[in-house]
Amino acid sequence: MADRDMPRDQMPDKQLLASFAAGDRDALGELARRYERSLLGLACGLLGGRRDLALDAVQEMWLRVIRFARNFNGQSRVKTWLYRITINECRALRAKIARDAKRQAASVIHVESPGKVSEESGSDDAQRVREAVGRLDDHRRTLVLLCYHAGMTHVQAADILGIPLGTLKSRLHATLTHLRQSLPEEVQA
Amino acid sequence: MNLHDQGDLEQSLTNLTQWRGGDRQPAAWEQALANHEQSPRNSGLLGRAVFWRMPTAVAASVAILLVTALMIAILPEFGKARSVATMRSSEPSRKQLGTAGVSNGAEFNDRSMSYTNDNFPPSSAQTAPLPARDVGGGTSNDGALRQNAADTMLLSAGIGGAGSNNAFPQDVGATGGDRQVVRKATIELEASDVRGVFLKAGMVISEAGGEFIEQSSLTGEGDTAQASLTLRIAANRVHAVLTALHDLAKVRSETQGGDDVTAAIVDLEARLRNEQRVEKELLELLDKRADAPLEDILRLRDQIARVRQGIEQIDGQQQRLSRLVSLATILVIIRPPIEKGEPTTQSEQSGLGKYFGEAIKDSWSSGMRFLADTLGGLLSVLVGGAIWWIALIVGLLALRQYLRRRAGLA
Repeated sequence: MADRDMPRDQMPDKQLLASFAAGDRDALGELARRYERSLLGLACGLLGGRRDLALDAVQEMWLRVIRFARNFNGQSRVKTWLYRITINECRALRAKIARDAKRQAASVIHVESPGKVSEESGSDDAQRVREAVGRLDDHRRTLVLLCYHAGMTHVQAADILGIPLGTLKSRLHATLTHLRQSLPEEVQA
Repeated sequence: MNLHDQGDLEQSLTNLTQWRGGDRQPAAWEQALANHEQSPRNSGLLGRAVFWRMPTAVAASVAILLVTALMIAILPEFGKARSVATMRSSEPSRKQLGTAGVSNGAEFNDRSMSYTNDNFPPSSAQTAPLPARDVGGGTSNDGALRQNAADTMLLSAGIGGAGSNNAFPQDVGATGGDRQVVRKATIELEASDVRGVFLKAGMVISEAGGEFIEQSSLTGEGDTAQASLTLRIAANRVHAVLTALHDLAKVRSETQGGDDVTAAIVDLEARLRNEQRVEKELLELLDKRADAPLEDILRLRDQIARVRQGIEQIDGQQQRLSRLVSLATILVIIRPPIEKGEPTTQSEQSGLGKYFGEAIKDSWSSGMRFLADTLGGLLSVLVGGAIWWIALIVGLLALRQYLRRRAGLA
């Protein structure tokens, strides 16, 4: 009874999801208020700064949440679940874009094309970092962006990626080393 | 900014995943919710059923049907079942045959034996393709039947025995090679038009090939008509003639057999050689002792005559055996359907109640038989195709896991 009377902004994520599954649309709104901005940021990073694609990915993520809210089994945290879906959607989108580009025999994969113009404005340094990250393979890119995503701890990142914390740290170290080496020399100067 | 500096690089990476949209909330969730509600697959129970349940059910049904079809295609029991089903469908119903289930079973066994025997046709027939009804076989049961049939034939011929491996190929070359086999077959046909079938049966022989009708009889008329023919057929045409007889009418029973007369022929040849040698010696003696007393000469002539008689007898026996070996004997019995005899009069005497009772009883036993067949088939599918079911389940579980992973549920 007490839980039902609790204000939405104080409800835990799991309860909000259950409320939404029970028909409370505003519960989803509360979840979105908590995570949508962060998820959009991550998706934007994963998709090479393409805001339109990031919006598509997050919208698709919400669609899946809406569809499978009843099936959420609580084996992971709701936040972890949302991030996993978002990452999967971003991967699917990148794969789709790569396929389309291959089919059209045109290099239009903005996220991986060096020297491309991103919709996301930023400094030259930011652009170089974005390009360097874009050249990483899918797993490394996801790992490094997730680890440095605002408010994300390494423990949470390891949980989202489904790998042990030690593995995450060693991979992160290796990826950062690789990333530094791949950055142009003039940036160092 | 020095991106090779740890802090600067980390800050740059953090900036990459920041959403710069001002204070305005993008509200992608609202758009997703609107899209979800507008989707026909979410418009009520029917929409959900059509767009979510139906594809799942259809996919599951298709998968089950595919696995079942695969098992039916590869399970040998089903091949046999198909051949039996084909055989049954080509036959009249049990009611028409007027025989009980037990007698049908006996009939089926007879057929199995006869089909097995079809696999051991004499000389030329062995190169002929197997009858279509036998193609679906190849089960261990059939193998056992073949062995039994071979044993039966060998035992009747007085040679070999059960499990005698080398007897089988010897018997296959019935009139060829070293073996001399007198082949016999009996086939019982059931036809409404006994006379017509009788006349047609007499035409399956090839007079040009030395074949002939040894004996024929046709008695009675209409429903009481019965006919029999004893056909002497070239040994290498037994299979072809039996096939032709199969096409004339329903086959109620069919048996084939053979007597191995190799030993008898070898014995006759030995006796013949011996008698010929004795005759030659006696003739030589007669030539050398031309001056012998008349009494001795007459006695010698008597002996020569007896030996000559023996030679002629042996020669005659050899010819008779040779004819028996070269011409197989097929006894054809033609009878009208049994139901037109006693059962009809019984039903006429029993009245309407009994008629309905019989009909209900028949329907009930047909239904039970169908149920038993269905359960048997299901058991075969479940047990015989266990490996495929396991593969299907594993595949579905993997698919489910994949879908759940895609949905982020795993």
